[in-house]
Amino acid sequence: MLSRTASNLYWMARYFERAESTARLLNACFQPGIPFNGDLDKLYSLPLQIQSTSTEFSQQNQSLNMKNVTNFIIAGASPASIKYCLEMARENARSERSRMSSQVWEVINQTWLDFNSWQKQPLPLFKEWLQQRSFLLQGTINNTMPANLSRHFIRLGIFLERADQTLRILEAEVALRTFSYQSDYYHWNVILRSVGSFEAYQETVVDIPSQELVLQFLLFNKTIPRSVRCCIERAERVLQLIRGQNRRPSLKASAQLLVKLRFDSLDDINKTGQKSYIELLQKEVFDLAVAIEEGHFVST
Amino acid sequence: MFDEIFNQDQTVKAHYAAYLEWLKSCPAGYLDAKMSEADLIFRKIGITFTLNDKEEGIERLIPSDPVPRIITSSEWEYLHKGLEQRVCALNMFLNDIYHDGRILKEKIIPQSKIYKNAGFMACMLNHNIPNNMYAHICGIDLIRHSDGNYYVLEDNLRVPSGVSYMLQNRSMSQRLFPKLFNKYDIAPVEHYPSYLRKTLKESAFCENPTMAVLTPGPYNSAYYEHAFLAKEMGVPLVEGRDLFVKDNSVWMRTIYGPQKVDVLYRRIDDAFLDPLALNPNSYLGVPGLIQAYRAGGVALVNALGTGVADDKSIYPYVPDMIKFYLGEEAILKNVPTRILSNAHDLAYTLDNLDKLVVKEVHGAGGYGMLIGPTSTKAEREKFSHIIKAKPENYIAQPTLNLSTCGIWLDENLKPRHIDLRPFVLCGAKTRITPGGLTRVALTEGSLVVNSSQGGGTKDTWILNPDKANGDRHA
Repeated sequence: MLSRTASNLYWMARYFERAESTARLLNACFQPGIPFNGDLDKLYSLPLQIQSTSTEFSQQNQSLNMKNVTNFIIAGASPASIKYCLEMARENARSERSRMSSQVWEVINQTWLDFNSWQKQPLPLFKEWLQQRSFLLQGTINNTMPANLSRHFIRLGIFLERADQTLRILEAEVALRTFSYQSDYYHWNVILRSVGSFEAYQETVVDIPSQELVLQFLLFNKTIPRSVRCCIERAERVLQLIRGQNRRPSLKASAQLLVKLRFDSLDDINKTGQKSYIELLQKEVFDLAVAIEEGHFVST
Repeated sequence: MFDEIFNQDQTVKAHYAAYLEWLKSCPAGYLDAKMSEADLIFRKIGITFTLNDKEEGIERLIPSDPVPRIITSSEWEYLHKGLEQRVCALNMFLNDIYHDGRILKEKIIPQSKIYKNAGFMACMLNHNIPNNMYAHICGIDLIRHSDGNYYVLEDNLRVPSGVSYMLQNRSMSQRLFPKLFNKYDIAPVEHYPSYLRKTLKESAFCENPTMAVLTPGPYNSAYYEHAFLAKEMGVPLVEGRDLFVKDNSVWMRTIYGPQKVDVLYRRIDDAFLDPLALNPNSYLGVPGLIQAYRAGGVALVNALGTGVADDKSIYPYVPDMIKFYLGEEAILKNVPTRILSNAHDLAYTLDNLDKLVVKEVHGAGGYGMLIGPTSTKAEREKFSHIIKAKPENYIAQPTLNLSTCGIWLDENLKPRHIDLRPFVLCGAKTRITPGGLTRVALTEGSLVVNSSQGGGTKDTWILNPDKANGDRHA
């Protein structure tokens, strides 16, 4: 497989996953009915903060309100906007359409074709639609593509992006706590819904969400699809399937990450504090992504 | 005017009888609904074509008309023989001019037309390639004139495209009108990619070659076709930047390290293949590719330098080539052509501009030509100045009355002009997929069928020899 192809497939998957995650995040933050009696400005800027696009938004010279932030995140002139992500996913897919099943290409292409009409819908409907498209894509990948290098690099992209998104939300959670929600319950409700894991939490942990429980859940739980541990474990398994000498640095990076994710506990988090701990994990996930990049996508 | 469906007396031709019967039985709006369905499917699959003459490339669908162009098996047998003969002679010609040049020594073609030709590649001189085959993939454009005969409009021996539309049109027809495929016994075309794969394999300098399709990239107008064929053949799709040359071999940059490639089906024009040997401004090619080619380290399909044979200035000599190399009369006729570098032809042409079609020798895509009968006096004036300035750049032909075939418009069959591009593959043997791409000029009365100028396509049916099809040479 060409290095460029592996890179295109990986990034196609990351951009598509990013689009869905962004929609979920946006919808969770701006859910109607969630009681909020804090600083509204802080609420509106929360998704921007998570995305790291606060500067780009302020350059738009628009007032900070729900409508403007929503439009910006969905289709604004920013490389983190959902529109941009879908465009990039589609461009990458188009470059590599001979390396994926025609059905996978069609799902991505059709999503891009339908985006313009769906973005005008109310946010919850838009998010539903995009989420469905993401599920469809993954189902199509798993059902129509042989377990070959193309599929491996696509899944690698999905898992890396998920880990990154979950960590971003946990990083922002610290800041979120400074706004005042009605209660802890609604605060953690927003966090869990942002990661699409609210029902999973209710079924697995059952207890009323608290900082300790949710942190452990989203970082260390090995069964939840969006926990950081699960994502990295799956990424490691894919790296094993890819074979070749070039994966040694990435296998090493994932192994080091997994030591923490498998054996750390709340005590380890509390030693340095949530913020520092999350930042350290983010750095290690980033290092893993760089190792993958250097091992497979950069050619000599 | 020759129509493919109807006789002069408006009766239906035998091989279209069953189709028209089926058409009559369709409820109103049925075909239109099917066309919308096809549109949606084409868009979903992303079978698009990018126009490059505007500032930003816009992806468009090539309109596909649902009414098939049907050709009887005996007619196709005749075309098949003619195509085989013509392509054989063209390849022998290419082999000759890049070696001994016998046809030039015999003064059948003037030397200047070859050696000064922009398509002539000096680096191919005395280079021996497998099977002595140069034009592995040929698109020979045919038209049918009002006398009912087929004529060759032009040869395309460089990077002929359109085969993916042929394949997708067929699969679309089968999907939309399955009942029709019960009524007619149509020769299948789905095996084209496997023929192409065989052709590539046979064109290698080595056994068990690794093959790849070399594309200029996703911003090229025919990118869909490159990706489609690569996928159907199960070979990698590469761009210039994925390759490098070392030790006279070409290598792909893969995730496991460099992998040697032996045959490149290149969809990049000659001049852009190698910035070291050819156009230095090209970012599409691979530095050192020509060196590797000359050393026999990699095979190119089509070979370098085939452009000299599909040039409009060489076109008039093709029947002479058939005579010279094969000792035969050309089965497929050329359109009578006047070569304007010839003073007599130039004078005649300038006097009769309103009756002739004048084409640029190096033009493509229907640009750079004058269609006399439909032009204005001012256009003819302007063009005559252009011709007089560089007569050697132009040829003139009588206006052809291209045959018509109905398209489905406003609940009716409306006749439009068509042509036919069969695809001939030459490896160790010649393989022709039955039919080819029928292009149709969608505007009433227009003779320009190119997709870049508002043309569309039709599914082309070659009937298998069978009494039920009413097989008769029309």
